[in-house]
Amino acid sequence: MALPAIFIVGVLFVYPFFLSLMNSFKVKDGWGWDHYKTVFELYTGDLLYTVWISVASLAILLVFGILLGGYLRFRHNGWIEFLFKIPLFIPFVVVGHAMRVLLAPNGTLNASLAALGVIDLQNPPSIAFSSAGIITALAWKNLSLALLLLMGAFRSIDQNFIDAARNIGANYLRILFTVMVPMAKGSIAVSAVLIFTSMMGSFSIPMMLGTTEGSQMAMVDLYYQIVYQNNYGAANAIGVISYLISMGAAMYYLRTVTKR
Amino acid sequence: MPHVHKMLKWLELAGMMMVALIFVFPFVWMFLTSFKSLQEVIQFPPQWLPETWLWENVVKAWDSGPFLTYFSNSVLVALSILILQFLTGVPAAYAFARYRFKGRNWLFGLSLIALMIPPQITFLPVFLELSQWKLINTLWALILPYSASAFGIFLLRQAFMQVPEEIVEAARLDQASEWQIMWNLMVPMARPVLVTFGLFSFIYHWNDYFWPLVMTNQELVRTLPIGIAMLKQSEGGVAWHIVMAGNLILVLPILLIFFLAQRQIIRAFVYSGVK
Repeated sequence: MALPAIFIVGVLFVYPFFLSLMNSFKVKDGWGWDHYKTVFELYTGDLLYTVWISVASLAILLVFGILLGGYLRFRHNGWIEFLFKIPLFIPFVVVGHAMRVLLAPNGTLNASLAALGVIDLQNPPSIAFSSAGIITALAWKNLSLALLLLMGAFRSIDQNFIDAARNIGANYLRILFTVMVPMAKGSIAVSAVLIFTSMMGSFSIPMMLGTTEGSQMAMVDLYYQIVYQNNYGAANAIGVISYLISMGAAMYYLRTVTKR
Repeated sequence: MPHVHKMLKWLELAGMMMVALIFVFPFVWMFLTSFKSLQEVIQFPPQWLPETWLWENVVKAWDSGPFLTYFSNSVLVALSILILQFLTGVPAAYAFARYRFKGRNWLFGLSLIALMIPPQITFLPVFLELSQWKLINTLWALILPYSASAFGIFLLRQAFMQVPEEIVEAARLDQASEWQIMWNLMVPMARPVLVTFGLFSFIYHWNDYFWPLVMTNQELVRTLPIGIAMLKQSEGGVAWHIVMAGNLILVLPILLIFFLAQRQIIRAFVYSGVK
């Protein structure tokens, strides 16, 4: 029963990945670490930057997701529940452009803050075209999926546990962080792994909201290696390293799932 | 005290409105930009509402290329992927959830590994593979690589694992075959998960830009996101109002499906208990 799916996954995902792995070691006169050496010489900073951006976006996302998911577990709000699913169907390109308009030096956010007298438009701060812009957009785009997973987990918790905590005087935040979050630990871990791996592989948003100077995210480097340098070996090496970082994050979860 | 209570209520409402604004901002921006003139789009300080609603921007976007072809290609690709993913994913998830066989964990691990490979990493070997099979520039190049979904197998396995063994045993006692148990018992019980997965899959492949971009270069086999990106290039400078009108055409069908199916989504995640 599982064979057709496994066959397709094997032929079209796993086999190409191994080809990619092999190509990352292929050099002119045989095999070697040359592409990895090139990548580490050129892109160590970028790889660390990619991890940093992904971790920071994930942290912000989880804080918002847990607080909002907890709130919606306590108080059902049909409108908010509907609205928070909107980012799911907005294409990345639209998110990128909208965030540029919102967060640019002369964008909507600064114009609104200037109207309130909070900032001076002669010297406006810019969130877009910086790490903060990428983090904001990645967190926004992935918040819906995180909320769906977290709300599913919070709603699976038996109401009796929540009532018991409430009866002994625990407030909303205490119930959330000492009862609900520990009970939903598994789902929070899944959400974190899924979203972290997708952020590690993000391309459109870093391209649109990042700067042309300074550190870049790994997929942007991969794109440049293919399109401008035609260095497929180095591109494969970047891909493999990104994948191994994502896998490292997922190892704990994979072990627990396959043990069941 | 009633004053404090009332104030807290207002604060809560204001907070929720802020959250709502954050969620809808890009969508509202896209919608409003679709009906503005280019002058209004680029002016500073930004103007929220269009002076005159230019409905013809949508018509201009639609007429600026073979959009009917792009649209039907998008429908065909997204629907074919969805059907194939169900046909391959349901039996796989059922086998992983209910059977004990040698190498089960290893094979399941293998499919989960695939879940975490970004398409940018594998596109080059897949491209070479498909060009050997002479499938580049055909809709098959967009459909085949996604005909099995690791995420779908994972999500359905979780749902199938929650069906009590007693129900399955009762069906077996009634002489139901494994295929009947799977399609007539398990699948209806996992409906919210199926709907949610279907929605996720459809939206992902409907909006996908990267894969059709690298696998096709002929108009006849292009999908809507590529058509919209070409729109941006064909307008010389970036005509954001037309590009966003194109994006509106892209988003409207999935918004409609979303309206119809959104009630199932949260139920699915409660039901499947992803953990």
